[in-house]
Amino acid sequence: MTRLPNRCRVRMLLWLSLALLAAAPAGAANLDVMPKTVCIGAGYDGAVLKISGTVPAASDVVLRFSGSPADLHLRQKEKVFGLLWMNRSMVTFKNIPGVCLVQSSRLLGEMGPAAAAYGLETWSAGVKFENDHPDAAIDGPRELLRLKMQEGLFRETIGGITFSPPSADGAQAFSADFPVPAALSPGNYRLEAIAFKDGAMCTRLSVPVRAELTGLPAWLSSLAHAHGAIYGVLATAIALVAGLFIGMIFQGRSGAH
Amino acid sequence: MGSFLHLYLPIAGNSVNIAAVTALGGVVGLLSGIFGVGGGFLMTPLLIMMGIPPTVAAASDSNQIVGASTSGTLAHFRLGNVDVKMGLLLLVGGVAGGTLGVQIIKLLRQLGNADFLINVTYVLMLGLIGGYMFMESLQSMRRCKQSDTGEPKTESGYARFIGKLPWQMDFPCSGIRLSVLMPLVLGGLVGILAAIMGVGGGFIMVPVMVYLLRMPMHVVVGTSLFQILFTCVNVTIMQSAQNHTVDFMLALLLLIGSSIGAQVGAVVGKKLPGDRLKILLASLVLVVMGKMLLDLLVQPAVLLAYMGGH
Repeated sequence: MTRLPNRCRVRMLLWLSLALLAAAPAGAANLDVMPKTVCIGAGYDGAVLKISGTVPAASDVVLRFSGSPADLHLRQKEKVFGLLWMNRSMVTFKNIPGVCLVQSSRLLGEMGPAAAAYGLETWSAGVKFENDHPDAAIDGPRELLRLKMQEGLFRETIGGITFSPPSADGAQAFSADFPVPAALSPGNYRLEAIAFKDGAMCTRLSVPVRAELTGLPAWLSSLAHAHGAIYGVLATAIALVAGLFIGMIFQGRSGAH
Repeated sequence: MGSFLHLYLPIAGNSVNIAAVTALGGVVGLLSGIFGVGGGFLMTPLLIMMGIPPTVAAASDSNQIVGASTSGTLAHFRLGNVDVKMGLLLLVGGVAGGTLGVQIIKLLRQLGNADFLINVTYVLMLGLIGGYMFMESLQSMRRCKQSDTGEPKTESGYARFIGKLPWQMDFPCSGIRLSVLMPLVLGGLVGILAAIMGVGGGFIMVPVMVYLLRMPMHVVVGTSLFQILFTCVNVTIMQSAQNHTVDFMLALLLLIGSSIGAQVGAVVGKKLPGDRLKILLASLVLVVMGKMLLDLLVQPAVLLAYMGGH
């Protein structure tokens, strides 16, 4: 018997899941997000995702937006000669998403331990890291959380999720405005909606969201990365011309010789 | 969330307020025009505070300095304040020193001591230069009122030493006679320090021209801008080609502000007496040094930082 390639097996599982969803009752859970692609153009200053979906009635909802995990290399600040704070040893955090935004219908702690696990504090406790200078180890996960929250790339908010009255089939629609930060990098992300009822998780849904550069930022970024030297010469030439132009405007105004 | 007041910077990977960045450029350009410094030692930390990654802030600042110093050099050139001969000699030394400095910092990064050296060099240089300029200008203002340049007039041991060096050359624009070795060697030393500190080096070059090359203050400003222009052209192209850290959109916003600021600065600088100009620059350098020293002494709010920052 021939083994199916992994990609085929994943596709089959996906189709199977879709078929099961289609066969589910009318009140089955679903999740939708608009837009599915965040366009990062010249005027981009963050975006608001319009999220809507259906979960079992009387459940709480946690929304989580996160990127693909990757190893993150940072410098740890340490005191040198017992006096000066410097960036010294290197710390490597394993499998850290670039962005992790959590929004819940009420306090995670109030929803029970299963929901509390989705809180950033609880998540950070499970973060694995290596320090090349273990003698001067700090509370890495806590500091990582502080750094990411300071940048606006990790965030935990309560509220902002609106529920409609439960329907006859035992389902309840919800909607939320979910802001994503200006510092969002182009790439693939995943939006999850997790419903909790009576302290236990009852539904977990997810949809992919893509962020991509468009217009002038896309053109500049591709030029800067693919033809760095040409980009540098162009940037220099434009700066020179702009400087000369402004200089000439002032010369004309001051009536200098 | 997008608004006409915001602009997304594709290399920095963040959005900035157009008015805030242009105003920042204007203020730093004003200082650049008055004092003849590129302003990198001020602009880069301020950009980092606005959320721009340190490497992108430093490289994009070099790009904007190209425009600002073109505008500033032009303004000073019209006023007869650019010693082209001296500027070219300093530039030759600066490029050689800068190349050597880049190699030194590369070696230290491999050894893991670069950040320490950069920070300590910053504080020492800023403290030394700012402190000396401040004290000297204060004494000079008290001592003699008749000269607006404030150069020491007595024949010191240092003056005798530089008078004995070979290959003496006239610099008519500055009204001095010096050995060619002086601008070459001093330009080289400033180049090394500038490369280590990741700045254009204007705030080191200006005191070197005033105190070691003994050039008149107003010629110093124009000549410094002239030399910085070429240094930053080189840095912009090198950073774009090798590290892809120049954000042209950011540079352009800063440039609009700084070019106008530099023009206003050149006019303001011309009206200020030399000693007062020096004491103002010294105060500015000392304030920046104080802030950096405080950052080194006080425990930071977050004990982690991205690679590449100071």
